[in-house]
Amino acid sequence: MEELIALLSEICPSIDFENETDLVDRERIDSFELVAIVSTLMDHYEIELDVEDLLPENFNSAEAIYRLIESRRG
Amino acid sequence: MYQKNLYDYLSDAVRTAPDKLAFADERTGYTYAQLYDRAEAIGSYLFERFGALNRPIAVAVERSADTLAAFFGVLASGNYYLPIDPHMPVRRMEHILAQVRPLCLITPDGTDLPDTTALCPTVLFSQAVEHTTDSAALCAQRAQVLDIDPAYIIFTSGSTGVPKGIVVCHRSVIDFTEWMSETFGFGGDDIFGNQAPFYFDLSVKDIYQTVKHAATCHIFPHRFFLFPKLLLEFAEKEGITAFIWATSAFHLVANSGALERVAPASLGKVILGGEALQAKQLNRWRRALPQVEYVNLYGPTEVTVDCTYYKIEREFADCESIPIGKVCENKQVLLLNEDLQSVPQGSIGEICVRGIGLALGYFGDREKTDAAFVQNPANTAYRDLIYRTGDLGKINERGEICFCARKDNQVKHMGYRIELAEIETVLSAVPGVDQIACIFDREKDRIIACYSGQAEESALSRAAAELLPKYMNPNVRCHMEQLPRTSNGKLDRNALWKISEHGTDC
Repeated sequence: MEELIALLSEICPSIDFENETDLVDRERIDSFELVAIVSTLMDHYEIELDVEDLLPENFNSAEAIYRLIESRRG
Repeated sequence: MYQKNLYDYLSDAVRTAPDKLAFADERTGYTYAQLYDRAEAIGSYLFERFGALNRPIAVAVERSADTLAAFFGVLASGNYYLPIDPHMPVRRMEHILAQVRPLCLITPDGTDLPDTTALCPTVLFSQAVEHTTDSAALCAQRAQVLDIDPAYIIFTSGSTGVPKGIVVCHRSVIDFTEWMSETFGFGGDDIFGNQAPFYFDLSVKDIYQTVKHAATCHIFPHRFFLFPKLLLEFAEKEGITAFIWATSAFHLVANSGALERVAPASLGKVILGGEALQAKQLNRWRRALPQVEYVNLYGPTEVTVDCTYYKIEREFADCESIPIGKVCENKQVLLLNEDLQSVPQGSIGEICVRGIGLALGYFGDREKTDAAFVQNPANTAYRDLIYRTGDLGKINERGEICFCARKDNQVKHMGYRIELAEIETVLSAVPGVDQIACIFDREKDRIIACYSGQAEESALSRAAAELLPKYMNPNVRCHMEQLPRTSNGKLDRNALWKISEHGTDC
């Protein structure tokens, strides 16, 4: 989780990934950052993310992103 | 009757289609009657409180139908609107408000905006919209507004570190709206899917095409552009017929893979603008939606939205560049050299534009206005202005205008026009920064800030987040011992590229 937060913070330095939630609903992430997050996750964790995985609920918090990675790894 | 004021479009629409849905966001939808009633109430509030004519009124914009009611309310009162992005850094917002000194800032209820009451009073949307309507007084106000008076001011990045407010008059927008309607054949059955934020002049096309035709426009929520499959599903469900989007959003949807899953059959027109269109992404769309008419538009805010258009009718290889086409009606494009003389056929020259679409100038900045809007060198007999875009273009062998490059360091990133010099000015003020230069990586669509000095990288990130809109924040910060210089001491941008790509310091 720590590693993920470090990766995400690099892409979106203004977001406090430890504490913030509702990142999509509160418009804290823009589309370009989301693209960067998705490609970083795919490269770093060597997972495949499909267009069906791209749903607001999977990106609303670091925890949700973590769960998404785990589900694709498993 | 011909239009004199943009508000006339709404007055006409409410007569012809009062019960038709005009604008809808996720929470609210207004029919033309509801939109008109709200605009009249807001206009009446503004008139009673300020009694002013032809003065700027700021509106904190959201992706909402209320924002449009506020715009039309301002126009109803005989004044002009200044859209403010509530997410911009506080200091930038203060700077803009201090420069323009609007009569007030209309804000949506429940928005967490910084306190700017020292610069102008704040008016809550809910407060203005409940005011008693005095349509006769508003009509009398508007009767005094000429079509050459301002309709809006839109701010863009400025090279000296100060954003510039471009003032555009009613006539320019009406002229453009009429041309666009005729050229692309929009009508009352069209349903638009709005992407562009209302502080971006690209949205002028959605707003006034919709109202001109008493058509319908769905304001897409922000998350649609993060998750394009949701967007396409919604477009299919609502029977959206036209997208008038920033090219970057079009590219983003193409890249997402969503088009291969959902291809809305109702879509008939996709009209793009804001930056160079990539053939590779266009081809993805054409494969998924071959029935759609695609158009590439070009033009800076200073010429009122766009000045050239290109209907895509032939095939393009993925690596080909897409022309910006031919000039819009009632505008002229001249390709001129440094001495403002026409360049020979096929040669590269600065794209200069003539016509009624030319903005009135930069708000409160005579010097910048005079530098950009200059006398047409081919005419010494009377006042005849051209706008120097700073873009370089040429005419290809097919007679189509093609965009080549910028003369300066202005770039297009995420659909926005950005002066790299503005970012440099802000970051050079960070303690510990000795030298700074920004470059733009077109391929990866990212801004790279190269700097020397003892400043921590985090200090640069903080300053950028505090002072610049998000889309202007450098994506990469690259520390160097020294910034490379050419033999005559100028910054060597080519060397900067090489070092930033391969240097161990980065």
